[in-house]
Amino acid sequence: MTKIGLRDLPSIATSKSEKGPTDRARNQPAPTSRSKSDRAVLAAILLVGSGGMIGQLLLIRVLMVVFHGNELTLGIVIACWLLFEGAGSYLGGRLASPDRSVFRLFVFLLLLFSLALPAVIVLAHWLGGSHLGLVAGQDMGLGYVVLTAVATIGVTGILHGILYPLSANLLGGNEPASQVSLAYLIEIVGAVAGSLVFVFILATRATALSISLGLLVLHLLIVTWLLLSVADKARPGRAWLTAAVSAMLALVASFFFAGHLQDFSLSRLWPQGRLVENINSPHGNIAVLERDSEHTVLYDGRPIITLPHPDTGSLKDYAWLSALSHPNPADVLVLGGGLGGLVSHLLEHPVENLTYTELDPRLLEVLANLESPTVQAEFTSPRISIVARDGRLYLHRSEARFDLVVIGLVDVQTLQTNRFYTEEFFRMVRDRMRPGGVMAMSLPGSVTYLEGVLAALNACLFQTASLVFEHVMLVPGDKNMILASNEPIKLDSREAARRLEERGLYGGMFSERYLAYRLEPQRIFEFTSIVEETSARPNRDFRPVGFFLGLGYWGSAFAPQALEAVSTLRSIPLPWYGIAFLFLIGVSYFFLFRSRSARANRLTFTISTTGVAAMAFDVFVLLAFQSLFGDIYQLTGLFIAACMLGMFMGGAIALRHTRQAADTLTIASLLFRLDVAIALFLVGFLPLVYLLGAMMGLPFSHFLGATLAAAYAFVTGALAGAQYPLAVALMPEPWKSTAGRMAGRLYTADLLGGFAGGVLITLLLFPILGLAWTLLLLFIVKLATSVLLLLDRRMLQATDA
Amino acid sequence: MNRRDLLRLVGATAAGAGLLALVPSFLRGKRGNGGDSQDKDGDTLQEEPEKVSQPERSSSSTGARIEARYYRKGKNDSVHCDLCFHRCHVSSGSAGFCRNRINVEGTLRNTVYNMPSAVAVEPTEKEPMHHFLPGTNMLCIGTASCNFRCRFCHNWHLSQRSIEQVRRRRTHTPGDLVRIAKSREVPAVSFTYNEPTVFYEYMYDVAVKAKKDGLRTIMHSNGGIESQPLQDLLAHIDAATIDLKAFSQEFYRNICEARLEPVLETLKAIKENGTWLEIVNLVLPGHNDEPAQIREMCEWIRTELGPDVPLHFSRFFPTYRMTSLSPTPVSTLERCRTIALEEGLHFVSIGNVPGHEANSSFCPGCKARIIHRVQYTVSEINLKDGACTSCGRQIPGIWK
Repeated sequence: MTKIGLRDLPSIATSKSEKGPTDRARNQPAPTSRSKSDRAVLAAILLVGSGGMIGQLLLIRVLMVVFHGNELTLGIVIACWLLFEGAGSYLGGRLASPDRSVFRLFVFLLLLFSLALPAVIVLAHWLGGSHLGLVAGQDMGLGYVVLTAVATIGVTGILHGILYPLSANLLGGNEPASQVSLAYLIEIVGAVAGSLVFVFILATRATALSISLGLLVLHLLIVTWLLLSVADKARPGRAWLTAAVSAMLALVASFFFAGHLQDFSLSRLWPQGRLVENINSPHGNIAVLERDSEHTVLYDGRPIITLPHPDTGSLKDYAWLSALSHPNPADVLVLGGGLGGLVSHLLEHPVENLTYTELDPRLLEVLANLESPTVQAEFTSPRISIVARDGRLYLHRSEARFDLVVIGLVDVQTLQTNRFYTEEFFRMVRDRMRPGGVMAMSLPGSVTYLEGVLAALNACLFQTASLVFEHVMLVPGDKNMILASNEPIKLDSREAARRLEERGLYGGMFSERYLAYRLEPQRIFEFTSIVEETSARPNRDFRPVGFFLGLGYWGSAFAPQALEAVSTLRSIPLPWYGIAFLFLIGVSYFFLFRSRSARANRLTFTISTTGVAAMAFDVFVLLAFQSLFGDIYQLTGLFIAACMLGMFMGGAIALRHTRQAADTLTIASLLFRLDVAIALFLVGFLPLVYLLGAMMGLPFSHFLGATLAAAYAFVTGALAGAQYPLAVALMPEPWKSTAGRMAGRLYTADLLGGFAGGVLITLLLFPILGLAWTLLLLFIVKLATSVLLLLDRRMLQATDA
Repeated sequence: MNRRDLLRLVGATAAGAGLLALVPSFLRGKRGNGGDSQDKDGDTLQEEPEKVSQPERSSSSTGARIEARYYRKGKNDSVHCDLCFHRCHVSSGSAGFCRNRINVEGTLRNTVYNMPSAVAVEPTEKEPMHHFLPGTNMLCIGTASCNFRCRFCHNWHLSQRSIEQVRRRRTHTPGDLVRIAKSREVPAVSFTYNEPTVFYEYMYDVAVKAKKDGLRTIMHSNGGIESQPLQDLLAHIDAATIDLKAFSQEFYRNICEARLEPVLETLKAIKENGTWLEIVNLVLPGHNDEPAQIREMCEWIRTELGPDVPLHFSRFFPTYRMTSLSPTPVSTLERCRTIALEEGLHFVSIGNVPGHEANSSFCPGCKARIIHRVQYTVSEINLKDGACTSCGRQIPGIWK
């Protein structure tokens, strides 16, 4: 069995299948071609990193529009990527046995991955339209979401996953551990570059298909270079080259038609209207569909505004009942989701100043371009001030005081929107209100039904408001409405009619009969009793129960079976969980101490929990910054880049250390210390949050906060990244001698850990347990692996002795 | 396993047991500080909360599974249900497509009798019902579930669940409901919210009792009921609003898991019976708004039911599983109305567009506005003894 080194690449390319001249090539590698091939391989591995990252971010963006994204679907998408990337990595590890050539497979899969990207984007759009039992306009249920994610990001994930172990093998050299770590580090550099390029350059400037076709061309170029650098000039490599260049030219030509392909693809996704606008802002995708002279604005695929005829029934109902809840709503603040009707209807009341906050300035541009009388009136009214900033951040910094604060029509299904329904936010609103001021919010509801998860969601937010305000009132309707104030809220049909008369607005839809129906005391009493008596925990910034229940409400429509499964799980008696837990302990004990691969298993388990911790660091930095400052979209790339840069730096230092320190005990000690440091940094996140919170009032708080959060991401990334080469160096035989297999195993563990961390933390642990308990739980898990590593070190010591 | 391994195993088990003890407190959150009231899992996702308030209940009776009507016994304790077009074959222990009719050892039982999950007073115009006591309210009654599976259902919270999933149901006998209607001083009871066919026995008994006590009765149905039960019911029903969801078999099959023909048969039967009939067509852009299809539907209505049957074109807004479909353009609704008027229908309105002129009703003779509506609010009625005050033309409907 020959070890394959980077300098042997020309021979790798032909070693298995070709004869005669190949042998000459193997025996006479030209020095110049060696350095060329070195660079080409390096470029190819960098491309694996950057292409994978760009592909991942691109598909997440596409799928978020197809699924009308919330965190649950986002979790499924990321989970699919990590799971399949892990599976691919494992498969790649098996394929990368040292006695076979991986070069051709590597080239083939690199090309296949780049071809798959545009194909799965079109497939995602097609699946999101009226196909496979779905009809146009129908949202995907959970099953469809999983199926689509597997068929798109899963397929590309598995292809990409195979590439990493192959690239580790391709690097060559006589030290498999160094190969694995080096490939890991090069890939990280590629991934950092890819994420920065995507977030800061491509995301808002190019369409999904343009980016994927551009990526395809880049892959073809690198592959051509790779083939050129390893091919003997007199050999059939030329045929490869010709084929690749021809394909490249063809695809460059198609690149110019990317726009047409994009239009075609989106028409599959939205067959119900003509697409007149489609832009990607830093915050989301904004599309405008036109049908029969009516324009519908879609935000991440979901209709939010229809012009020139908005949903007058519900918008006027919400606006007027809010305005009627206050005797004189002179100064009004509307937080998001209000242009295109809600603001206009509020302005029908004697409002002197209305401040409207909108997070996404591109949405304002799109609305302005629609030239709808409703929106134009809102833009040009002298009584309105539009602030293009996160509403929460505005409220925090503003000194203004308001009579009425209306939370716009946004749902509670995402962590971004949940921030407007937490106890901390309500306190902020209360502090900005004049005496007698009223806060209004709209929630999912039904005029006939309030129970189960819908009741729990309403109860959660009603009771959260009750913690802050002395008087809280529920107005049931097709959408429920909650009014909160520190003064008694006088909103009955007679008082409302009197105020309408006083404001010269009585009549039309708002007659005495309508008010009597909408404000029927018996219904209000009955529904209020329900939300008061349904037990619920308060919704907080760092325990977003409302978000969890919002997802549950989504699930009640789209995945009722999954909810039933949760109920069934809850009905299982606790002792059964105890038995399952003990069984798990037993199995873990066997795998970690008794099995033949116990040592490798311990290291693999450590890497997987580090994957969990690394994901936790990422998720918590993003969540904390989002909760406090609101605007995270572009900063997401910065934080991820900082984390990955940290991983690279940590990894590079650790790699150098493993090369210098031949003593495995020293490496094991270092691995243990790093593990303890990771555990400590998990609990150390709490002071960081309080520090970030304290910074909010300072000048440049946004910048300072972002710097601090990025620094934290960098350091934690370095800790996590440093563990990988150390674990690699400690891996026992037979993994030790096979770079690909070792890479496959550890990389899979890392990814699966990341997957488990991402899904469990975002969807379950954080919303239910809250930040502190989640961190404590993760601390315990990481401490357990530290103990494991300590035992491992002692065993090593005993063996040495 | 040596002694050291054994000690390690014991240690691991003890640690496991210790962690296990923490599990309940993790799941339930902190106890003590906040008191017990906040620790009862209110933020769980289960659809049936353990602790709920009980709404007002009738003290006179409780809900019961009564034997269903319109079914035949088959072999091995199976039964054939003849209530709706599905004509379910229900084996023992199973439920029909509607979820409400269960075969209990060879006897088909209705599980929702006496168990309304929604009882509320609402404007008659909300049905919509335009030619029936305009400006009045009615007592609306619904239970759970449906024999259709419309992906755009507005009342999906009730209609797409079984009664077991709707825990906050009341217990009201037909007599109780009539008493409530009387006490709320409404002239009519309406069977609505979810499909009344799936609570047929209950609807029938309430209708009989209500008629006996001088109340009017309305049903809002999808029309998916078999001929015999419909005929028997109509003897006690004054007016019906029927959803004609589309004039396309494909639409019914793909979006509602139902069929068009039974609905058309129901419409004809109601008309022939002399029960007051109004039709609602919810227009979903791209699904049932083709002008040719609308024209064909209107032509059928005029020929089979007559031009005086009011037709309401309603605007769709995203709901239930169709939350990414755009709202219906108002111009589409106006085009549908124009087609209907061209086809000779006399009373064609537009719903869910408050303030639109076609919310109101117009005299087909002199074109004067006979009832001025904005959404559910009636502000003017220009009728005298059911005749247009402008030209004297008799307007069909139930006005007193």
